[in-house]
Order: sequence, then C-alpha cells, then structure tokens
Amino acid sequence: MVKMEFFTAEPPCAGCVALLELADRVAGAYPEVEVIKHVGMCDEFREYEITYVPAVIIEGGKIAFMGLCPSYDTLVTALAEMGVKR
Amino acid sequence: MIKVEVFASEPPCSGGRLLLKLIDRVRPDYEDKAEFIVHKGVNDATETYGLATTPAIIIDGDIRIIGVCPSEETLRNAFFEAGL
Repeated sequence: MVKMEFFTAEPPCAGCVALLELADRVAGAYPEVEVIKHVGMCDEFREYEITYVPAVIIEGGKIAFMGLCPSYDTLVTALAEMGVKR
Repeated sequence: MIKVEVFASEPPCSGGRLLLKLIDRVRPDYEDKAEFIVHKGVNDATETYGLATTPAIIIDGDIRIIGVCPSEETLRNAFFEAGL
C-alpha cells in the first residue's frame, strides 16, 4: 500500500485548506492508497525535514511537494510513478 | 533574481525529460524575475540539497518538488508561492 501523507498548518492557510480537500479526493478515488493527514506541527514534519506547508510526502519522501498545493493531476501522475495506475 | 534550479537524471528518465520540456515552455514568462539553472546527473548541488530522487525543482534554495514531473498548473503554483 502506497502511503501518501498530507501536511497542513494550524490554523490553515488557503493552500492548506485546498490540500485537505485534495486529500479527501485522493482517499475517495484510491482506496488502495493510505492517506494520512497531519494538521499542525508533528514528529513527521521534522522527520521528513519539511520546510514549508502545505506539503505532500509520498512513500517517505520518494516524491514530495513542499510549500505548494499540487494539482490533482500532478498527484495522479505521482501515484502512477509509484505504480498506482488507473 | 530568484534562482530556480531544475534537476534531471543522466541518462534522462521520462519524468526528467518532461520536466525539461515544461521548463522550456514556461521559462519565457518568468525570465525577467528568475534565473533558471538546469542540473543533469549527480553533482555538488544534488548533494547539497540531499536529493535522493529526481526530477526535482528547488526555488530560492527551498525544495519544492521532488520525484515527479508536475503539471504546468502545479509548477506555476510553486513559482507563485515562491514570489514569482
């Protein structure tokens, strides 16, 4: 199972709100993907050496987005790169 | 000028090839505000940023995207968030 972690600030910025909606969309479309939401500071934020939120970390950092909300299409491409295809 | 560093593998992977094409397409829109540097293969910059996978985009010294060629929308969003 591919793990996709979403990191947002608390209180959230507009990009973080958009990212949380994106996380729900991915979770609905890809039941085989483990979607985890991290809201606010957490151990994983430091572990992955994230600089900015919103951020998405896939499979521990093989694919990462920091400081931006990617488009849904980009996340679909990222999942395809990890072998999860539609 | 904001420095945009683009990392692609050598020999190229399909994602890296797509990213270089995408950069060529959007570059004219940012050339007055950004300096584009393309890194191919492993070099000192790869080590500096600790990049384990490519393609990657670093803007103003900050890692923004690693391991996948983004859509044009995502790339432009990354530029916007970095002040471009």
